Amino acid sequence: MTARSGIWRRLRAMDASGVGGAALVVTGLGVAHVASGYPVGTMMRMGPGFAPLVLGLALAVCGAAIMVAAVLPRREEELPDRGPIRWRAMLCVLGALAVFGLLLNPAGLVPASFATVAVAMLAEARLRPVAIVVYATLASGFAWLVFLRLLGLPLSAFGW
Amino acid sequence: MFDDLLGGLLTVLRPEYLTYSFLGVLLGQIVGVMPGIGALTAIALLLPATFYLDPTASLIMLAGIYYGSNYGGAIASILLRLPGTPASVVTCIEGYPLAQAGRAGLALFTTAVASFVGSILGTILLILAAIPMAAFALRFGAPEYAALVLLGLLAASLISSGSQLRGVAMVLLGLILGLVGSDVNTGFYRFVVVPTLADGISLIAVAMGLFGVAEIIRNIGQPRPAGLLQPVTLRSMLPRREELREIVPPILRGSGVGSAFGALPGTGAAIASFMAYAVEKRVARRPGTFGKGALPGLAAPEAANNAASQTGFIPTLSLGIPGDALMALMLGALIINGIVPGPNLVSDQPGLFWGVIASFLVGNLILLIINLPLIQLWVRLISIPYWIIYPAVLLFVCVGVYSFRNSVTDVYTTILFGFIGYAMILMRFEAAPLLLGFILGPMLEENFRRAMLIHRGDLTIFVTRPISAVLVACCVALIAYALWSSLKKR
Repeated sequence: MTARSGIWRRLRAMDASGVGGAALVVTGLGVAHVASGYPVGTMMRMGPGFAPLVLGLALAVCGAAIMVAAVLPRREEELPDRGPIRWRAMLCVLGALAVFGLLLNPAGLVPASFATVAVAMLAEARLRPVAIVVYATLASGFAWLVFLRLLGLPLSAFGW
Repeated sequence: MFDDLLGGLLTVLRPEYLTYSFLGVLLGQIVGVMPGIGALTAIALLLPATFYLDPTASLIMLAGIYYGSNYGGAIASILLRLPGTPASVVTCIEGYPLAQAGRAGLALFTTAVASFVGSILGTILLILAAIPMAAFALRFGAPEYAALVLLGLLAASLISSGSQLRGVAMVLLGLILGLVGSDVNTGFYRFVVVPTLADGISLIAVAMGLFGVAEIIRNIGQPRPAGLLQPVTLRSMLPRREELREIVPPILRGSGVGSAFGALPGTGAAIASFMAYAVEKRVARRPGTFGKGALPGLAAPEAANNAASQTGFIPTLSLGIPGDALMALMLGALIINGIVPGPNLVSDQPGLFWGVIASFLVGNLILLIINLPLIQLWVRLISIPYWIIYPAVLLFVCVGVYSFRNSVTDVYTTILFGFIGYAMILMRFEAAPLLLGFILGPMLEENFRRAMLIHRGDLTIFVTRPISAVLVACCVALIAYALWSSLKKR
């Protein structure tokens, strides 16, 4: 590791902490804001708004403290490297779940399984299309066998 | 008590329960061996299936996955420095150098034996402690439960390997997420943005997103350390006499440390293994060998995480309060089957209680038997490329999440939590405290509100009732310790 990459790593980690803290502050204040519209009640008879109001404010305080801590100097060992952000993997994996949700009811389990597995496999850049089609076909057959024939889940194989 | 245990053993030895126990530990061993799929994912995946099983069989199987994964987790840690489970991170430190020195067989033998002894000692403690604990817990009222849950949450966030502030933030976020849905006391809808959320956010969706999906994203395309997959022969496993003498005291110490941390609500196997390693390093006669393949540093954490996995059932079964996220999923399995966890479980469901405990003895024996002789098989399992594993796991996640409540919305919730989970990994936030907060949140709110209602909004009852006062004192001590240790670091 060169000194330069060390500095970059440090900057990125700090950046991430700042973003995380800020996200928590926004979430906490948002929760508290919504909860302030609910009946808060008294200490003896707490309403449904009491807990979210308190917890939301506490989360915002915590988030602010994390942002402050991100700016303070730290020791190097507290920054384990999580590697680069894997955009492609994230989009494909989350996309695979979305495809399943979108296809399950209109199209049925077998097409949904095929599409889910195929989209998920796009995350690996080096896989060839043939491999993807073969594996997705096998997986959808397996899904039909296990989930419908063996476990008898209340799903239709083909929706149309 | 002995008769009860014997009855439990007879239950477990019935072919159907024996099958579920075997399936559980086998699956645990497999997911433990394979990096990138954890016990939590496996248990969450099987949770919908427990609809179709009786509660005893469900719990026997899910528990088997839990403690089975500790055995498997050591294998990839030693051979590839890839921890299969969070609890086996420490195993890499001493196990991998041993493998590099050509002593992988000895390391595997040590961890298997340490795991077995730790588990059995932990189970014995569970047998001895669970009934008195449950009897004691019958005296608990709402303030005591609220204080105990608070202690568990504080322990989960403050006694961790990462930053304490971040741990607290994650617990708070989990508590907030647990509020979503209709309020138990008034039926008022909180944060219900789509109708499905009226029943709350699906536990399975949260667990799968944060652990299963986020882990998959992180593991895709990650280069695996080049194979040290040397053939491991059974002969190379046998320790010399002085080596055997070297590992016995650490195993016993590790079991003790692990049992203590397992029984404490809020801390589980992962923390227990770190603590056991720290203890070993401190008492070692030759601390210089640590990090270079010291057997005591390998044996103690493995004994500890297994002991903790067993004693973790003490608060879970006798109080109804899960010690960590995995335990919470197992409690979920009981609740799905209409069994209310709590101090009455022992007297209401003795068959289940003793059957499950007896299954630990049987299951660990099975694990010891399948672990070492089949080592070649497990080693081969590690070398399966990840692209074969993860699409199938993802498909299981989809079907599992959907079929839990027959809800497509839950699949979309999983996407959201998968994204949050991956962002948390990048920003170094831990997911386990969040999940624990999510599960314990409703319990905390309900008991706190009940306590306030009964005692007319008087907060002092938490310190004037003796049991609750002790628990509150523990909370204060924990906070003081956390503040002191973080100030010392600066």
